[in-house]
Amino acid sequence: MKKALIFLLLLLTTGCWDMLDIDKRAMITALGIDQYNVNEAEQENSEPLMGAAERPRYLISIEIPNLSAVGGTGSQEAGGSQSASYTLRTTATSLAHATTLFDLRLWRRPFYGHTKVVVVGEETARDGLKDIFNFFHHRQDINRGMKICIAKGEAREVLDIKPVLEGLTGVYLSNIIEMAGISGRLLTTDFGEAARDLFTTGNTLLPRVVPADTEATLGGSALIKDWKMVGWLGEIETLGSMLVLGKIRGGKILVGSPASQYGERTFDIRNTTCSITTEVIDSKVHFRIKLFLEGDIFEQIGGSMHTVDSGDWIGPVQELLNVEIEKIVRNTIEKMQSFKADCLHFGKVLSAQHPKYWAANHERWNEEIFPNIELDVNANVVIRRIGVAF
Amino acid sequence: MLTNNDRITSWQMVLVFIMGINATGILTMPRVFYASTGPDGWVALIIQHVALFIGMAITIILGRRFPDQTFVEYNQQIVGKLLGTIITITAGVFWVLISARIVRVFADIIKVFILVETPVEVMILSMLLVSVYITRHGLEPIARMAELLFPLMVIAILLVTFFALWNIDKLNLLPIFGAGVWPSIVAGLKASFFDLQMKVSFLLLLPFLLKPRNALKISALALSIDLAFRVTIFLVTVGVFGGYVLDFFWPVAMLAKFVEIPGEVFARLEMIFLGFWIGVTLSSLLIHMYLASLSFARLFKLRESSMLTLPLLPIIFIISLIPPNVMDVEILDTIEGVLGGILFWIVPTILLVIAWIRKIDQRVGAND
Repeated sequence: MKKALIFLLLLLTTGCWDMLDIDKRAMITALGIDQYNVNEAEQENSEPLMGAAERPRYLISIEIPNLSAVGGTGSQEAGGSQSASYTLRTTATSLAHATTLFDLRLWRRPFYGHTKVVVVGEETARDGLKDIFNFFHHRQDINRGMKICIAKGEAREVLDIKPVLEGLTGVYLSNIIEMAGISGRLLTTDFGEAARDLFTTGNTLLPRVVPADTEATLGGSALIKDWKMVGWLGEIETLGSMLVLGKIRGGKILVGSPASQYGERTFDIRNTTCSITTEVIDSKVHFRIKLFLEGDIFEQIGGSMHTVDSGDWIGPVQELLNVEIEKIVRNTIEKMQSFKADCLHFGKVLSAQHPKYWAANHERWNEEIFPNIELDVNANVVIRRIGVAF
Repeated sequence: MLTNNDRITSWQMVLVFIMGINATGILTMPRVFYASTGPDGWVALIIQHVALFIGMAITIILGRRFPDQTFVEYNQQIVGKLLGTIITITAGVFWVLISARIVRVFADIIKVFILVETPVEVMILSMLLVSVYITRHGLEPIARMAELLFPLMVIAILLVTFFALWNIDKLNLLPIFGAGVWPSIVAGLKASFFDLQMKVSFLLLLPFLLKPRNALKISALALSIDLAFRVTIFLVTVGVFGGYVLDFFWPVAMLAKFVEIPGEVFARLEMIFLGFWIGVTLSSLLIHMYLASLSFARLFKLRESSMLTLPLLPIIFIISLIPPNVMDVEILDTIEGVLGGILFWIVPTILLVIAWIRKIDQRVGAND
C-alpha cells in the first residue's frame, strides 16, 4: 500500500501540467498592424477564404525569430544564408482573429510574452487605437514594458527592415526606443505607460518610426487624441514635450550663429526638472511652466570671442538658451492646442491644483479650455561644465 | 475543555489576525477604494480601521464577561438556546462561505496569471487538502504557520511597492479632499461594515489567548500593522496607475506586472509576487476553515474541532464552484459582507446589552 502511494506521488507531483516546450512556441518579437482595404481584397480574390461575416479590417504582420539562426554558433553551422527571422502576414478582423489564423499556418503556438515592439501603421492609428489596446490590455502574458510606436506610412514596411547589425527588427526598434531619452528627440514610452494615459484620458504621445531598407529612423512622435492619431510632432517638438514631462536624460540644443560674437554653441542636457503651477484668474486658466536645465557646452563654431580669458560668455549663452528653450516648449504646446489635444496631461495638473474648478468645468476642457489656456514658460539654464579644454 | 496546546501567545494572535485579514481582498482593495473615494482612499482606510477597533472592543468587552467560553456557549446563556443556535449556525455558514470565496478567487487569479492550463478544481482541491491537514491539528500549528508565512507577505509587499516607487506620479494622489471629507468617511464606515471578515474572529478566538487581558492591545497592534500595509499599497498602486486602477481586476497583481526591476533579473515580478501570495492566502484559508469547524464543533459539543474539518472539505469545495464565472464570485462576497456586518456589529452589541441588563457575568467574583 505504502509503496503504491509513493509511486502514485511520483506520478502526480511532477508539477508539469502547464509545460510547453520552448520550441513549441512561436515567440512573436514584433507585430505590425495596418489597415486593410476591403475593396482591394474583393478584386484579388473573387472567392474569399473567410466567411462573409469575417470582413478583414487589419493586415497583421508578425516577426518570428528563427531560433536556430539567432543562437550563437548555430548560424555559422547552418550557413549564413539563413535569415534570423521570418515575417508572416495575414488579414484579419481583429488581433485575436489573426492569432487564430496564424494557428492554421504554424504548428508552434503564437506567444506574445516576448513581444518587444508593436508597430501601428499611420492609417490604422488615425482610425483609432482603442481596439488594438483592448486586445493587449486583457492579456496576462504580454510584457507591459514592450514598446508601441506609430509608423509613418505602413507598419509592414517597418517589419520588412533587415537591420544590419541586429538580427531581429523587434529587438532593434525596442532598443532604440529604450535609449531614446539620451537623444531627447524621441519619446521613451512603453505599452504600460501609454495604456495608462489612454485608458484614463484618451490622449498620449507615441514614438514615430520611419522605415528605410536596412534601418529605421526613430524620432518625433504621434499626437493621439481620444484614441485617434491627429498629427505628428517633429523631433524638436518632441524634445519640448519631453522637457515638460520631465522624462529627458540627454539631448542637444543648438543656439547662436557662427557669425555672432559667441559663435554657435551646442548645449548638452544633463538634468532637467519641470514644475507646473496653475491659476484661474477671471475664469481664464493660466499655466506657469518653470523649467530648470543643467548641462555642459562642448563646442563653439565660429564666433570672435575666446574663452581662455574669462567666463563672461557663459551668462549671455545661458540667456540665449533660455530664450530658445522657452520658444521650443511654447511652440510644442501651441501645436497641441491647435489640435485640441492635451497630450501632456495639463488637465491632470489643473484637477490636482484646482479640484473645484475642474469638477465644474472638466467637460469643456478638451474643446474649449485647453486650446485657450494662457502660457507662461520660464526656462532657467545653468551651464555647469565646458569639458577639459577652453 | 481547552488543552494547553491550543493556547497561543499574544504575538501569535497578532500574526494570525494579520494573515487572516489579508487574503485576496487586498489585491482588489485599491480599485474598490478608488472607485468610491478617488485618491482619498487612504483616509477611508484609516477610518475603516478605527471603526473596526471600536467594534472589536465591543466583542472583547463582551468576551471578558465569559472567560474560557466562546460565543457559541455564551450566546445560548444570553438569548436562549434556539436563538443562540441560529446565531452560531449563521456564523459557521459565514466562515464556510469565506473559505469557499478565498479559495475560488485565488484559484481564478492563479489560473489567469500562472497556471493557464490547470483546471480550477485541481487548484482548489489541492489547496483545501493542505488546509485540512494543518487545520486538523488545532490552532497552534495555524499560529505557527502564520509566524512562518508572515515574512513572506512582508517581502512580497515590499518587493512590489519598493520598485514601484520610481513610477509614482504624485499628481495621481492629488487633490486631497477634492470632493470633500464626507465620501471618505462614508466609504470608510461602509467598508468597516462589509469588508475584512477576520474582524468577526475574536468572538471565537478570545479564550485561546494565553493572556486574555492583552486582547485590546492585540487588536490595536494587528489593526495598525494591517493599516500600514494597506495604506502603503493603496498609495503606491494609485500613485502609479491613477484612474487606471479602475480597469484592473487585481490592481496589486498588475502593479507587480507593471514595475521593472533594474538589471532585468526579474522580468516577471508578478510571478514571484503571486508565488509568495499563495502562502499568504493559504494561511488565511487555514484560519477561516478552522473558525468554521470550531464553531460547529462547539455547537455540537465535540471534544475536538478536528473531527469536522474533513467533512467541511466537500462543502467548501462545492460552494467554491457554484459561481459560474469570475464576475459572479462577487455574489459570495456580498453575502459575506452582510453576514459579517451583522455578526460583527449587531450581534455582539445586542448580546452585550442583554447580558448587561440581565447581569449575566461568568467572571470569578462578579456576582458576589
